[in-house]
Amino acid sequence: MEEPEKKIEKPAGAEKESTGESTSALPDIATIIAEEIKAVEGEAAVAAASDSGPPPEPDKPLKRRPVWLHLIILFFQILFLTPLYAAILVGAVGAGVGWHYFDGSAELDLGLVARPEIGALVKDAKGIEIGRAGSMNRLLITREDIPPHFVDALIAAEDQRFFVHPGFDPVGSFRAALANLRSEAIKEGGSTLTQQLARDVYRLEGKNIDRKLSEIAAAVRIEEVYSKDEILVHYLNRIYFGSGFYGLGSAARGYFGKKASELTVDESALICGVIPSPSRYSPFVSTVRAKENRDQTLRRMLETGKLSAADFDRYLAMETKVASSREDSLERGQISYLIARIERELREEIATWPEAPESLDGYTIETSADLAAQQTSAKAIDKHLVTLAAAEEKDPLEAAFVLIENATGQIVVSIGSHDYQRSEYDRTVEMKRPPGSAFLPFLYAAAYENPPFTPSTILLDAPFDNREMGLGAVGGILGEWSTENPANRWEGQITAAEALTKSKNSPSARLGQLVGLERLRRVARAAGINSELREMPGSLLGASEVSLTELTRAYTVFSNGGTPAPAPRLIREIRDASGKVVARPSANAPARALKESTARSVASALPGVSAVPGARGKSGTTPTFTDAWHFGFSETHTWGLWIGRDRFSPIRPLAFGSEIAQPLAETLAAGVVAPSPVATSSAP
Amino acid sequence: MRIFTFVCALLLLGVGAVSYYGWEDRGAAGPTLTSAIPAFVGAAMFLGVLIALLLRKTGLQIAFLASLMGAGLGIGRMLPAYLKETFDQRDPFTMLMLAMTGICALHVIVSVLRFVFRKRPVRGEGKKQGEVSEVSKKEKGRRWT
Repeated sequence: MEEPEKKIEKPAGAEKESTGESTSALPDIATIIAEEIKAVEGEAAVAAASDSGPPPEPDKPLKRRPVWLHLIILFFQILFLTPLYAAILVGAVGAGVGWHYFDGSAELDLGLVARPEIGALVKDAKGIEIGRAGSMNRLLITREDIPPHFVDALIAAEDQRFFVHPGFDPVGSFRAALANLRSEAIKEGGSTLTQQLARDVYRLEGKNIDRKLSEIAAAVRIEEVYSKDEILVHYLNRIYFGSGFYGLGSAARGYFGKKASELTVDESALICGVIPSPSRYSPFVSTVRAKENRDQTLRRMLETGKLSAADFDRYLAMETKVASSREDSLERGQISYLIARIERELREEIATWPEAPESLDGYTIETSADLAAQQTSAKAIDKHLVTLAAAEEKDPLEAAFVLIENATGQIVVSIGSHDYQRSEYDRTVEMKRPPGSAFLPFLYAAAYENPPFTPSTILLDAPFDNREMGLGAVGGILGEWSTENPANRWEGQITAAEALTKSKNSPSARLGQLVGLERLRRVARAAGINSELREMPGSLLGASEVSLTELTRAYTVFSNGGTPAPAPRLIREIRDASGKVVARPSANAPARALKESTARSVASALPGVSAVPGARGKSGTTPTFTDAWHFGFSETHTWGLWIGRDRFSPIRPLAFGSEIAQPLAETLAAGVVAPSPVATSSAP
Repeated sequence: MRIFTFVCALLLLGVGAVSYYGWEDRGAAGPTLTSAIPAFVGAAMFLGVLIALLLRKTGLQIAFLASLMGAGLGIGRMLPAYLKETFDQRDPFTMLMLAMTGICALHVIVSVLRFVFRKRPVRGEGKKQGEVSEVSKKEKGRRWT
């Protein structure tokens, strides 16, 4: 902060004195320090004189610089020096932040990079191996297995300065930021391959500056220990290539049915194009997007000189075919789906353990899933949906199916997405939709729990002003429900049991108004429906959203004599590497939700399920025909099916649950459930 | 200023030594060069003091830059923990960082104040000849002897 050094014009004779004494004075630091103390102790004039400029000549008096001049000089000094010092300070703070993260990364176990987890073996209820949880679907490869053109494609697409940078690439990041700025969208990521590897190994999830800096620090550490070739191999053994394929080995096998070493240039480019967003760019999800990304990778290979113009044109014109039949894809998808769901359950289970294991290697997880039934059901759903609508719609038809054991709540079949390769959204638990009249059994149960309502209670089946229910439909009169069945007639006075059997909305609406939403909520909650029934009259008739799994579980109250099944789950038992049972997840036995007589009365009023002798069920449809449901139960199992579209488009005109969901649900259930009559009794 | 800088440099060398050799107390896996950063800052300031013996302003300039960087490094080192709300001022390493940052910041502030409020002699009228000669002698003595 001192002003720039100026040459001091020494008085005549001082030169010699200075030169002569500087050699002797330099070692005499004590003398200098003592004089310095004097200077600091208030000898302002001396200090002032010593601060700058030549020593004054004896015959010229000193005077202070005018204040205005002093201020002007100060102003210019501040003007020029402040930015410089500010830049230095900012740089130092940045270096300090880097220091924080670099120190933080010192505790990372770098050996993890070379030890991809093999995970826990997952078996279905019959002991058949489903796959591995925690390790994904991996086929490990070595450096020799990676074809040179794959490396070229990967480097061109993901990290062009991979062989040069020390783990992070400021140049690449700047270029990516610039490209994103120009396109006003996030098109390029600035992460190097090593950063991506660090993110995967140390599970650095989330998009924030803290995660990014941790990732950079970890990447630098990795580069200190591993060679570029080793990093490349570990990276390709770990990362996700979409559609359930982890690592290049399994991606090559899954997409093209060949070894990684046999991949061609266009296949390599297609696989590399998947990396930025595997769940969207997988060729199993969208052939169009996969091709666009393949072409983009080829273009980058051309730009980086890894491909000649002629080869580029040749590959661009090629159609890269993925080797997979629809049935293979569906079957593999169900394995991925089950593994994903089991891993989610596993995470919840491990969170309850006093100490989480470092790795699941060697563990065995036994589940209640029936893999064969799962895969058969997925294929049956796929076939059924094709008959309902064209496959290439913008908002395609989807379906979800869940089948559980009444006594234990264990899940036998759970299909959250029949085509998991295309959509990983689990519609059995993540999706909530209004169940429509599939909810009516709970309204009648709530009524029977509260006298004077019984199955014999007389209700009026006559036009009803729908504005009172708030469901909204044609004309405001509940007459629009007559469209539910063209043969439907207003029947005047009918019993509650009849109204439920015939799924009559007008008497149900009247009953609902008498029972009240609060009583219905109590019953629903006791039956295991945790979703809130919204404060609106429509909730009485199933206008509030629930998930498929929770409503299926709630239906078990009718087959279990009033007590719901424990919370549905897949995992039965977890064994460690030595075979010792370390966990046997079991939900608490739920309390009774309904009187046994109520449960039996409702069950007896529900229509029978023809495909499963002795079973009963109920369909549901929403007023706009966006959701079709069917729930059924036998003495041993309960199941639920939903058909609809993710973006709430109508399934098709007059798509009633009883017509499009019930036949499929019965077929699916019949494949798993043995005939077993549900206990019913006549209404009291 | 040189004395003050000298004292600051010594303190920073001490902080760096404690940080480097006291790795066990800090719960670290072993001594790391980065933990000795306060000592490096102190060494730079000490170098500044030594240079200032011959080239006063240059030396003090170097010391100022070192303390400015030391303060910035310290702030940057603690900033993420503060933002993540994991800042623990009782942690031994945090205390050392606070010490480094404090010493460097104090040096920066004192240097700036001395720069802003310094007095400058210029040639001109209005002073008695004798006073000037006295100042001149003292100055000469201080600088060249």
